[in-house]
Amino acid sequence: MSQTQTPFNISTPNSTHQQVTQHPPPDFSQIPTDSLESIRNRLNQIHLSLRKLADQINGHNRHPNKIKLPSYSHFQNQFQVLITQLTSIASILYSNEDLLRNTNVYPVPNFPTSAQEGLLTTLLRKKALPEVDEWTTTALAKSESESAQTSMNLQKYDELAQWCFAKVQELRDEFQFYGFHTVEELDFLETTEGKKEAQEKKELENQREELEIKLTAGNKKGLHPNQVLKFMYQGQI
Amino acid sequence: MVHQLSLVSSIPHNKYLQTISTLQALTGLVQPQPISTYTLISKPSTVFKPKFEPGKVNQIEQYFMKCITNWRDDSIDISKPILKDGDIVSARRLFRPDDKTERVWTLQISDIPIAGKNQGCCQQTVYESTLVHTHTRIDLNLEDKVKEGKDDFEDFIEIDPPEDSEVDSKKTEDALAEQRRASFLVFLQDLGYEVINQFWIKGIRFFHGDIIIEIFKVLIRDDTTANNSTAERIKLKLLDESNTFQIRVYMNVSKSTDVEQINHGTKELIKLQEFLKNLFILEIPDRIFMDSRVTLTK
Repeated sequence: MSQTQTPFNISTPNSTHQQVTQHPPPDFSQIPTDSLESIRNRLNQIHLSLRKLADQINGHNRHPNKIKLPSYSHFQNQFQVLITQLTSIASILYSNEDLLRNTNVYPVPNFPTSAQEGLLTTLLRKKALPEVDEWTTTALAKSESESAQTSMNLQKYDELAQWCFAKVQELRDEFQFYGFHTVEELDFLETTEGKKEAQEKKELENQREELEIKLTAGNKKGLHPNQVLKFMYQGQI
Repeated sequence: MVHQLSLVSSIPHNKYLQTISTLQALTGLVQPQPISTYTLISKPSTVFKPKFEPGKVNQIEQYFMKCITNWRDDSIDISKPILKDGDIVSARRLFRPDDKTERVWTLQISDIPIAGKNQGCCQQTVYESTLVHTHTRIDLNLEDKVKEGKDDFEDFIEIDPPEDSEVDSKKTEDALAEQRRASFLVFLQDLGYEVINQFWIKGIRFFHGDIIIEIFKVLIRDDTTANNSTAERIKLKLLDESNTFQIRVYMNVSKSTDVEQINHGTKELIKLQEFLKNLFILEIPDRIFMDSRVTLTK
């Protein structure tokens, strides 16, 4: 935000009076220009991606045969990107909250006020546009009516989630996990009946193994397909 | 003539059920087509060795020929393992005097698969010709006599004796009976081929698009124990005693010059190979093992 780029001087309230009287060269050292500048970049990005999405949808609406509607996964991805960009803007705004709230913007004397009057009014406007106001109020009304329906606000949801998480942790700490048997199963294995069952299982396993050995003629390894092919083509192995 | 693209694999017997179920689900074919074929491998009886002359085609090869026919036998359940000391597995003798069925024989000669690195699958050209063979030349009266007289015919595979017997017994009946019994073999003999081995194939076949998936076992004649073969049936045993199933996945392209179709087929096979890699690993067979040329040194 150098002086040539924007004909505005930004200063924090405590230094305002001195600057007005003395017209010193503007001092930007107090202003975190990097992070503020990144807000602009982010806004630009969001604008672009929204525009792109809108173009695709409108294009489809206009020529349904020529242009295909982007796939579901594409929308999902785009939405994900938008959310990340919005989160990043929100965090920047939040961390610079004080600065932005207390900053006054005014034109420097060499700004061509009369020639760029339209631009000046746009840049100096602090009040939201009426349509923006409308969006905000409808969104607020909607969320309020929803929370009234479920009779539980977000904070309560968060509290519930927290409680559930804590409870699960607590429950898990009461157990120790070893091996593949439950305590009941282990106890059962110690009894005579349990031993008998284990024995039977082992026998069954042995039987199966024996069958397998018999089946493969004593664990013989099968012929490789190449060998069989050779027999089929040349009559010899 | 077909150009055949193929891949091979094998599975142990205990994986049969799983494999079949998976392939049924994949292909949507609940009742796979049964395969039961009988194959004679024959070889040219005289060696052809043309004189080397510059300027002429000197690469002349002789090939083994496979003679394949159907083998209708429902006694073998392919889903059960074939054990050495288990039930006797046998096949009906084909060349019996009382066998009047019309047989369709397919004579097949295959080229050695194409050489080259980085191939997606094995590519081979196969030439086939079909022959319907009936025993029409023999009249029935003769046959009855033959039945009484000579019932202990040896199986045709021991093909050397017939010549002797022809010389020894000058009876026309015997000669005719011989002809009757083995008329296809006589045909082969006239053609200049001699049988060197035989095998039976039992298995099932799935179809997946243009791809044919075959799962089978190869059976051979069991000569280890005497007297198990009867006049009607031949005792069989597995070629591979470990009960391993062979798997062959192939696709036929009608022209070997149709590069587009071949590339498409190769891609399809590779796709299937990738899809089934956790069930069985399909490999490219070694072309050397599929060489059906007769080497001149023998």
